[in-house]
Amino acid sequence: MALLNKRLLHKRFFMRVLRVWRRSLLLRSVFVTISFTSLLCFIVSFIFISIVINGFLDSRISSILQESKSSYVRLQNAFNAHFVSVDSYGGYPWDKFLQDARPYVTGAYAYGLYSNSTGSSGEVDISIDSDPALYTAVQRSGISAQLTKMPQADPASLLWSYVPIEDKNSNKRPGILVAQKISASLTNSYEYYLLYSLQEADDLLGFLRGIFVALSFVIVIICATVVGLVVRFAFAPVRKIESISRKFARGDLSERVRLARLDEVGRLSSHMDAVVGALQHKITSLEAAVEQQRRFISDVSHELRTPASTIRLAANVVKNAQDALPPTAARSLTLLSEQIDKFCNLVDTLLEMNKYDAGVAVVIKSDTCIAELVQNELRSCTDAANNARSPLLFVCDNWQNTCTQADPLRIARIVRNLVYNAITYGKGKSIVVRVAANDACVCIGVRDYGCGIREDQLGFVFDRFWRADYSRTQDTGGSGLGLAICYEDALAHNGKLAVWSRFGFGSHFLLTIPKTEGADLSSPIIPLEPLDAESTDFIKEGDVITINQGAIAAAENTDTQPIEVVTS
Amino acid sequence: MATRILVVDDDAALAEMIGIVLEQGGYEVSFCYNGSDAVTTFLKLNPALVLLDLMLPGVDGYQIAKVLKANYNIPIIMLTAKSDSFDIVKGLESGADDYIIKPFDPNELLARIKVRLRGFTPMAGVADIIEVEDITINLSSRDALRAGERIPLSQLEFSLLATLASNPSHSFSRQELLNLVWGHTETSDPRVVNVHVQRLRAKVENDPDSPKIVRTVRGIGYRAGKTRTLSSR
Repeated sequence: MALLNKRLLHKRFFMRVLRVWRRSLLLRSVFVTISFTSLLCFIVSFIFISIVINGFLDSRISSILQESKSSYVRLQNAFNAHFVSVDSYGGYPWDKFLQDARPYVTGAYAYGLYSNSTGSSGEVDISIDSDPALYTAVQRSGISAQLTKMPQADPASLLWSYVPIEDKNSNKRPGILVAQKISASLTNSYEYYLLYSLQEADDLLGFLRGIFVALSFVIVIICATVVGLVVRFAFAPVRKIESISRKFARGDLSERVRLARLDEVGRLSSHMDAVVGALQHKITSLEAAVEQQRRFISDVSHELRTPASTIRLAANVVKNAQDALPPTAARSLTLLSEQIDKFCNLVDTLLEMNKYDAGVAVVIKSDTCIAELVQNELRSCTDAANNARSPLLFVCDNWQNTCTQADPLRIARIVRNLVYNAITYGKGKSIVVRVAANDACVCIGVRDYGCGIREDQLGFVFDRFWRADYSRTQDTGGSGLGLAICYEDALAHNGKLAVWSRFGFGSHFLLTIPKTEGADLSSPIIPLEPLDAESTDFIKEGDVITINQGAIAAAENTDTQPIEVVTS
Repeated sequence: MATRILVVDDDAALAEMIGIVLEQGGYEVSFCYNGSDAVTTFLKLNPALVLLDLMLPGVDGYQIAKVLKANYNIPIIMLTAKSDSFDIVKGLESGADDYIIKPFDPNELLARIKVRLRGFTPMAGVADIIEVEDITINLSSRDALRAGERIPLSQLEFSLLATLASNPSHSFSRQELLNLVWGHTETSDPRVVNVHVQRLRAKVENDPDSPKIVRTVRGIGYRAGKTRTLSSR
């Protein structure tokens, strides 16, 4: 668990670093500069140091070889001089010889003489020098084997090899081992070794390395600083443009970049300012035009109301004297009254639509009991339902739970519109209004078993002035804006109005109002596709309130018997 | 003498038409065609009710409503072409008792006027004097008293309080109150109730923030506080 946390923490840290990396141009430039300069410094130092060290080594080695060659010659001479006395003593005084040879080997770290193991004298590995470092170096180099292959002592052919010099404390230093054969007699020869230290070269290498590391460090820092400053300087206006363009993106076009520069960035910003200015001007004039048009519609609608009131009142006054009128005049009066109602309704709806278009529709929410509101609304629909002989049924499961923040007038209007639609297209069959709620939302479903809507028409149901069936509905008095306004009302509540319909089986309109902001509306408590999708009329189920008693008689004839049950 | 109603509206045709309807309803009607003369005309004629258009030349309807309500405790019904809830609430808050949206049904208009003029008519069998918490309501003298002192309620506010108090066990929904107190027959804006309940509370409650006399019933509406019936008719 702790490990997982740690890993998560690491991951989060990594993500944060990645985010900073992606967001900052400055950081990236500096980083890239540091990497490239470091790499370059490394390569340059490497090449330079290699050249210097190689040159130094070459000269050092040639001087060593020179030295060892001359010391060899002198030693061979000394050896030859002593050689005579070897046989006479029966043994060679090596200590004395080495002491004698000492002046001849100048500059060497150590020197030594070994007898050839295959020599006739039978002496094996006579270590002449006391320095163990030489012995180790000889063992390591494997130079002895090469030396054996050499035919005879030849002053011209020295053998040499790099070897580490190991002291008593096992510290290693670079060294060079020079080997040569020294003839003792015609048949016998000795191996002669000189060990030189290359400590100077090593010191030089270390010194150079130090210098170059320091130099590289300084160069990298300088480069990074310069690049950082340049980027900062070059991008300061870009950053300003970025911060202002962010405001543009949010829709605030009031600001301008206004860089007083003549370079590319300055020109870019001035072009941008010009574009935004033009855009703002265009938007302002368009907005003004839209606003003007909207005002016009609003004013017209308002102005229409006063004469409409007068006409309505006048029609009503005349209606009171209807009996005295001749039949045609009386009929004309009826038509006048009906049409003025329709006209008023249309003006109302137009105004409301206009408000939504302008985005000024005010939704005033209050604590509303949706179930009660729906029931009240249904009561006022009873006359229309009775006229259509449609039983109007109300189902609500948990009354109290349907209370939420909503604009009661708008919700009532949606319900009214949906129910009137259901009555109009319900073919006299049952209309079931269902209210249900859970913690997330309140649903109102209006189901009819009437004509239904063709599938190819279903997408246009909420369009303005769309009618399900032109020829049939002209006499229903609908404005053609009803469902469109319902849809807007639902959206104004952050809700959703959806429709399911099957041609010949009726329709189901489902309004979902969220109880809390951001509630999930994807799976409403009432399914959009009704459970009785295949039914041609309502089949009695649990708790149902029959709203219009008058229509029950009609319902009884069609084998459907709604029962009245008051729900909690 | 018939009850006089003052119609304040700048549209002469509509005013005349309203006049005809009201005269048919048995009222005496006077007119005022602009806002600036409204108050003086009111004082001269002393009508029982004012029908007030909101958009008037000169002084607008809101200001007239404010002046009339503050000084003369007269029932005011707004006539408005604006159906915006905002305008309605603003009108109600300025002092109007009720509103009616143009274009209106003449019977609706007459019904509303009737209810406003009639005030509260107690149902049969309801006590004459009712005590709600520390307030005494006298239905016949149409007074509300606290510690013997009269609380200045408008007719509408009295009707609202008396309606709630006359059936204290019942929680009234806003729609019910609209029907009973305002005489609205169709669904109207329940905020009419909210505005007047607030106004009533401001006058009768000791602490309007935690109302005792007009209590809110969440999800339903309002009901009266602890009530005691003193004398029965």
